Amino acid sequence: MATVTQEKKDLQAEEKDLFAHRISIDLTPENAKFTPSGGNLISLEVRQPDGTVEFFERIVPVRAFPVSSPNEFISIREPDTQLKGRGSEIGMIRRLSDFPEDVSAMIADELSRRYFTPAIQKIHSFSEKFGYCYWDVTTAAGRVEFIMNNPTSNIRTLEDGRVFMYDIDGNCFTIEDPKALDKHSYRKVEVYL
Amino acid sequence: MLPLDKLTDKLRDTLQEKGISPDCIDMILRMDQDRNGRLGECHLAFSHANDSLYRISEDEVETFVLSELTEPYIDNYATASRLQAHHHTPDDPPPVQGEMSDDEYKTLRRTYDCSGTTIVLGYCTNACKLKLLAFLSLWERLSKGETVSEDDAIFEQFRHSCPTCGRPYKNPRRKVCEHCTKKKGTMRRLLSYFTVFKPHLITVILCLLATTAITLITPIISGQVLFDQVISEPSFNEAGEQITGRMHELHFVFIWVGVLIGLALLSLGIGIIQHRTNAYLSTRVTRNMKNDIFTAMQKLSLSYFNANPTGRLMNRVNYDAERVRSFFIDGVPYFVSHILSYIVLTVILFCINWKLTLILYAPVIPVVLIFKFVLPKLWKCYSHQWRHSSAMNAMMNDSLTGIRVVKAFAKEDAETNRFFTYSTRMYKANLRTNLVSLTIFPVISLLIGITCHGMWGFAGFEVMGERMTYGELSTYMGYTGLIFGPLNFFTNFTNMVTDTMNSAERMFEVLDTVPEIVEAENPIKLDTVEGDIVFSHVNFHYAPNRPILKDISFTIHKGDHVGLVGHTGSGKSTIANLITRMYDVVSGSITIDGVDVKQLEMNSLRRNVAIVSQEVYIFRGSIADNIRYGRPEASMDEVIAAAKAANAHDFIMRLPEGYETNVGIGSRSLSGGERQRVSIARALLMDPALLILDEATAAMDTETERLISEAIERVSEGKTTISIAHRLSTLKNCNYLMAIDNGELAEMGTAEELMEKKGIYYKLWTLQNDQLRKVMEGE
Repeated sequence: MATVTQEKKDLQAEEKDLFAHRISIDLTPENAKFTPSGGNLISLEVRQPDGTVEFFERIVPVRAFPVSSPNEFISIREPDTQLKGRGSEIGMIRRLSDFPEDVSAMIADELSRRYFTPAIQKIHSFSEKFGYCYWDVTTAAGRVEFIMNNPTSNIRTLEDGRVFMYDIDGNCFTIEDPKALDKHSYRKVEVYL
Repeated sequence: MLPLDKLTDKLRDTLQEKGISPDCIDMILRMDQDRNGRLGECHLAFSHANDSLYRISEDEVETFVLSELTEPYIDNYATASRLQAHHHTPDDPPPVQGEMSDDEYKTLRRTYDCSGTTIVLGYCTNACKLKLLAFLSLWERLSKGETVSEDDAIFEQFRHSCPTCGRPYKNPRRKVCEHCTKKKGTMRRLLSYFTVFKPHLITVILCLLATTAITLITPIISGQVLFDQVISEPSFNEAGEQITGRMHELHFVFIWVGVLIGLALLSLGIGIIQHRTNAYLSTRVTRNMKNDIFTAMQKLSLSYFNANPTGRLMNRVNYDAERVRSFFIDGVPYFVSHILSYIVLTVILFCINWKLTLILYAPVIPVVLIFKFVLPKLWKCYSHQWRHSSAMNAMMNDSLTGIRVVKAFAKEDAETNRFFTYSTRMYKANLRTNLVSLTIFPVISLLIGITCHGMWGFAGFEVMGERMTYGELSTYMGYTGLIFGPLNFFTNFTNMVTDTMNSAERMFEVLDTVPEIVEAENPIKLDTVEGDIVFSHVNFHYAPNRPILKDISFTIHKGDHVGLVGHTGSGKSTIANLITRMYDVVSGSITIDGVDVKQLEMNSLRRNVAIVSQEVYIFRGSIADNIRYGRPEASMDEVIAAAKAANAHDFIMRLPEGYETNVGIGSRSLSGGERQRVSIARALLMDPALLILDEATAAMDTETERLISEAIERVSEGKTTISIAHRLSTLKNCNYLMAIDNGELAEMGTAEELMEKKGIYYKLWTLQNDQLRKVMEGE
């Protein structure tokens, strides 16, 4: 009988080992220390609830609500690597502003690169042909030309008036306030709003 | 140099300035973001000979030692990508295999590759992603010492030029050459649909000309002839010439009234002929166009349908063809006739009285201006109205399709309120449209009304001064309608042209899109397929940033029953899709009986390979029709045999009309398991050499599943079968198993061998077994 229980225990231990996965914790300034590492990357030192301290050479911040709450509910994840496969979540930051300014700025910077969404300031030209639109715009990140397929479904207006535009490559552009655009630019997008 | 991105003169100069010979460069990658992540430019130059990777931004060149960089990879961002690599210092050399086994070395090497410090090589938006991926793949191949030629298959994806004329496509995603389509001319191409019916077309045009002539003549006859010469008393001008009353006799009244009635009847008759011919012409033209579009669509590859929602495709068939038809039937002929009548009219009116004509034409300019500048506002209103109405439709569709969920969560009120929001928006848009149109059109009628009254005044003055007759006045009145009627049409006409051209271009886009999967030119026909399948170094992705299969190689022999296991999204179903050539491999090859699937005739392939997939579609029609969809000529015996083998016979016989029960949308609905069994019967009826079951029995209870797997075992004696399943019990009849993990073939062997390995299969087995054990022990 004893061997059976032993076997069962072994199996359970093995099972635990097999299906072990990280448990995500709430990250606060008290238990998480973010530091810059080379080349715009971020390292993290976490103190787990049981007191153990873990170090991650680099982490990946991901927004849970990229549109409505870009600076809240930030998931901090391990990167995907060939060695470990898909990275799992280390923890979540409730509000970026809970962290000291330098840390929150560093994470916000990384997020803005990750969710690269240049804001359109001026529309130079717009033409529609064969169901594809060709845009030439100046954005906060520089001037760019892009092609869009089916503008009715790729231009989204939010309740708060912000506009998101997606091009054929999956790049995203935004217009923070279409009404604030100059007259000529506004007229070019007006029909799609 | 490999044809990835171009080595510009500026880059060449910059490199030379730093003492780097451009000849050593193997390839260039242009990244469209600078090092701060703004839109800009940054180039990576790869040189295997120099063991260097150069990063060139502006005039600055940074050098990385290639052998110190490992595991270059892309950190996938939402809308941009970051290229990173692990950097090792010289005192951290890579491991040497020595005495180690391959597996041990592989693990060690991987650990080494992922260690070191991570460095960022550059940023780019999704626009550069394809090239970035190719760059990485080439980096790996070049580092291994492989020589890559300029016409390597990897560059195929960047060859965006028309096969006919060799010009690059303006839009690389839309493989339609504007030059070649333009050459034939959209208009002429459209016309070719009509010119097939030449006699009808000529009839329509002649009829139209005749009716136009009659409309023009009628006011002259009624005014200047009937009124002036018949009804009016004879009168003479100063020179003694008779102006009116030349036919001032009773019988002339009957004659001319008769002529007018005759003309009206003639016009009616011609109109009937014209409309009948038109009806004949337009219905046939629309049918031909719709047939062409649908035929072209059926030939397109699955990826096209994934990218284009069904609704939009149906619009192409219905709406666009209709648009084009209406342009040629209701647009062009009237345009021609209106133009003609305008010219003739102007000449006639000027001859009668030029002053009055000027008054008549005076409001034309403001009316045209109103149309020109105010009507676009109205179009905008219409477009808003249309968008709100489609949003409302979508909402209704959503809510009514999900009515079960709505009721289950008692959300009827919330849904009703949601509908109110949409309908309110819709009503506001409608109201606005109405208000705008109710302002524009009365203003126009007012303008026309004022003109008419002004004309009456001026004409009265003229008639009283005997410079004009009553008849001429009445002719004028008759013509005012003809002047203002077509104005609206003319201002609309340009819109009509652009709309039609858009529709036509959308239509031709479907007709001209080159299917991604095309049968080889001289396809190899296989009458009987044995079922030997070989995958060699297969790589595949749907979207370039997400590799689905990575370097997969395996062989399946005739008569094998192979099981594929793995997590959701690991790429199992993709393997099935590739064997049936729903998609083409990105690189590597798949052969069936030694023939590359790309060389195989589509018919031979699809006739010999049957797939039962997770997604089951039951067409409208009887169950028997659904079962023999792939082989309509199959006999009743065969249908029943297939249904029995799929364990579907029993439930079909319980239906009131047996095999003739109508199923599909709008008819009796079958349960998930029943539909699944019908689709298995459909596949079995094909008597395929290779049967692929992609989670085919997932929707069934264990007992039914066992019955079916036994039946399949019976019918698939000596045939190759591939089963894909989560539930390992489904795979108990398999000779051997393959475990797919994250797009890689992780394990392969018999169930016992995989248990030994303690890998993925073992994990899955332990998990499922353990759960069963827990149930048994009542834990």
